[in-house]
Amino acid sequence: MNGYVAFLKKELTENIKNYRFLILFAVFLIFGLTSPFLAKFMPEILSAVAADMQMGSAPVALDAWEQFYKNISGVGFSAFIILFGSCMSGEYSKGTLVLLVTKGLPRSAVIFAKYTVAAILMTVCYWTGFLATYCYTAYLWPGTMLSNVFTAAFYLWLIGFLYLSILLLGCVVFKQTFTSILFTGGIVAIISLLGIVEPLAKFNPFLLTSKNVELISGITSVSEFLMPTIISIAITIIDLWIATILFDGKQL
Amino acid sequence: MDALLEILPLLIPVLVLDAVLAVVAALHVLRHPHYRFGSKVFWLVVVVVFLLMGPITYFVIGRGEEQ
Repeated sequence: MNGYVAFLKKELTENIKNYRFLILFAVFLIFGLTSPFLAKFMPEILSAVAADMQMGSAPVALDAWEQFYKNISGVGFSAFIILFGSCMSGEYSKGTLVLLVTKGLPRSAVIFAKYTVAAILMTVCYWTGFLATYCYTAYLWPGTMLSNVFTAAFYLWLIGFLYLSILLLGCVVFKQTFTSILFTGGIVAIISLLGIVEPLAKFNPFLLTSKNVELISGITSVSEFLMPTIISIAITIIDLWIATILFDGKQL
Repeated sequence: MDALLEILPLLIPVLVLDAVLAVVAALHVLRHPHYRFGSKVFWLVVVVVFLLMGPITYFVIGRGEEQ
């Protein structure tokens, strides 16, 4: 436990010093700020550029959230995976873990500390972005009441934990940054493809990232999210468990 | 167009963030003269001209190993 806490502190400092935190924070905050903004003013910007363009219906608060979910689940999480893809490969290539492990740091502590730090950073960045979208949406569409805004955001946040656990597994299995990222991207692609298969779609964690806007607009109900949530958490735990087992037998 | 000018203050936080990133990245470029590829001038231009994407590109693929 002591080893875990010490390694956790070291990892946190490292991620702040190597600018990972700064970049991710900025990316999520900028997406959080610009999502409602773009949703609100895209028609005006377009009409300023092309005056004869026909506009559809006026943008509503839901459009802002649609932008938010599109940006965060796409670019936001991709940025996270790309930046954290090097979290183990750097240690392997420099051999920096050997010393710590031979001095008695449990190997599982390495995995859990790495995961905890990634999860903490993801949580801070994600909810900052959410808060930005929330405030701007409230300002740009005063008086609009939407239900389940927090619940919908909560589900996308859970998917973040799942992605990070897949990434960590990839980082343990493969020695190179690029392969780990490719592995994560491949698994995420398979999960989203399985989302098309009708009988499985109800249980697929992919639902947590694809139906958030429907939840806010009231088309879907919270109960539909229950099974994917349980399965998503279960896969996250299994991923971490497999990662610790594989890491135990890994040559550093 | 008036509406756009009216809402411009809302964009200030975004511009401030972009500027902070550009300054941090530019300082890093100047202080760590080792890059995976490209030169000091190249990265300075990239970091300052391409808001948001420039600094991110530099930190992800341009920065050399710490000495």
